Amino acid sequence: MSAQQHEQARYYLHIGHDQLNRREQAALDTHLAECAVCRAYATDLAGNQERLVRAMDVRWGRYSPSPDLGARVSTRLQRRIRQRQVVNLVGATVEGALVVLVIVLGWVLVRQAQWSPVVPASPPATATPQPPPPATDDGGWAALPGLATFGEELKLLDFALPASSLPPGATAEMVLYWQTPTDNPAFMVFAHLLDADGRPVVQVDAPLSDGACSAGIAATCLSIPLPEQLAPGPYQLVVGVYDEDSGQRLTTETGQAELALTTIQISPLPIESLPSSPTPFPIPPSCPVTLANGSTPPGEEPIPDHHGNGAIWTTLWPEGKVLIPPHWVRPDGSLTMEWGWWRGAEGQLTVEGRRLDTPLAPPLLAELAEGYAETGFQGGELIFPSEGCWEVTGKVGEAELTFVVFVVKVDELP
Amino acid sequence: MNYVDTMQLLSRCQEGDSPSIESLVGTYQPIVYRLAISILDDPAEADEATQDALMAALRKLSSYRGEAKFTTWLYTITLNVCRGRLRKRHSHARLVQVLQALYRSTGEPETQPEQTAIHNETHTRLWQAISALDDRRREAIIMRYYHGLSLQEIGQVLAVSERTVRTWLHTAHEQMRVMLAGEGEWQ
Repeated sequence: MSAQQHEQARYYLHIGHDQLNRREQAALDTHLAECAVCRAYATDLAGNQERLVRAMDVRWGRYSPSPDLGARVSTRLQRRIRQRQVVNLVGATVEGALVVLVIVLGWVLVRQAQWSPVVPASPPATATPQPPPPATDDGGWAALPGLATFGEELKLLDFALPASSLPPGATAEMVLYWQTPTDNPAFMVFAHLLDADGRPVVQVDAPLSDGACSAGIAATCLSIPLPEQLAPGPYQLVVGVYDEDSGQRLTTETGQAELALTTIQISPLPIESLPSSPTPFPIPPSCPVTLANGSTPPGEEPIPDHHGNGAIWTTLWPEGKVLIPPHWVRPDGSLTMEWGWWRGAEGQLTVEGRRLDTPLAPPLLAELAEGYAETGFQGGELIFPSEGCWEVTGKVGEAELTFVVFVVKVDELP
Repeated sequence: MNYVDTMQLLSRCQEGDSPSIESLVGTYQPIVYRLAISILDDPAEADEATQDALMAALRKLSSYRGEAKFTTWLYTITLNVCRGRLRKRHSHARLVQVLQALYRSTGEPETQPEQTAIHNETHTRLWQAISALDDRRREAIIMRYYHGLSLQEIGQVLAVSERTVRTWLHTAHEQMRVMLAGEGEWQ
């Protein structure tokens, strides 16, 4: 019996029998039936949990709310209602006075217009056609969520990094999406790759927009060459902006001149030299699967499978493959998978999706669990009507996160 | 109180019906207080936090859409109120101090058989192990074992995924096991 099996059993015991799913319960029961050490651990754990509960109950259970607590809440509530009534009364009075004032002023103006002589030198204001109100700098994009704002108006909306794990010598291609204050901002973007000690190992600079900018939205394409001698491990990618003329860096809302965007994992071996193991479920080249960018949702423990854009996050399967074991296949043949989402902003999460390799396939369905807070985690299930290459989009308000996965049925999970 | 009764009561409270509000306060103040005392470990402050939490709940009643259990929603509000209070009094240091001082204290009120039991060495070490956990793992342990919440409910109250709650509970147990190792328990 391996150490991993003992560890797994202990994990299940810590979670508690009543909180395990059927598969986990069965695995735990099977292990306990064969392992005296883990049975003894389970007994000890149960005893200690009982003592823990008793200790907490003794410590806190003897206290109760003061007898007049309900009355005090009622008093505070009534006071609040009275305050609100007073505020409403004052508000209504002021509102009424304003209405009267507007009526009186209107009447005065009408009378003046009727009886005053026309002065040619100063035509009435209505005679001059007024230009339409100027469009705001950010026009219709004002509500776009972003990762950070540099300076006063330059907002980094999102980024794309197709491959977050690369070998030394490769080139990391990335795109930064901006909401810009003008159509042709004279800004330069820099990206630094920092080692564990915070030292830059690669630096690249590029114009924020090289003409591809329109309607206040710009994209910056960056090619980050990774040195051949780069040691394997995680490297932090930071980006920033500086004025092309003065060289002065723009700072974010929090006063920082650079923004830690994501982590690039340098793999220990070049991809070409990795031992060629047969891939049981090869992904067709036409399926552009998304690899996790490591963006961790607020409050969660960082893991490499987290993927997000600062507004919505999820967890992606390794290599972009979603493996569906038999017990997740529904009687109608559709494939289900539990899927977690994190919402950075308040709003109703909706999920939609389509198969990229067969346009005639029915769309993705999602059953989202209810009862979660207005932001943060929301669980649910994705229902893929068939195997294949699926594009999935989660939306909350204006924010959305799209990724591509390759869904395949398997006899058992590896 | 079943789901329909709760929703009807809440609906009347939203309309400002005083008897319904009193009924709501009377029904839920024990569980709010129970959570508050377990987080704040101070009866007087738990009393104030209970008032604040109930007032906040009544204020926000229109935002409750009946998707989660009402008690879970109430737990979330109460926990936020308690966290605010803990922040004000430099929570971590205070909580550790309180928990560590728990069994060094003298002159406690009436002694009960259970209190005698709690004063033994085993429980002292148990409490020290709990107090050494970080805030979120301690909250997860308290909600799981003292309040009997499911992992899903804990996740909803703490606004994290069920998987994260699992990880926290597991690592909390492991940390406690390490702390208590060699002392003949939790290993």
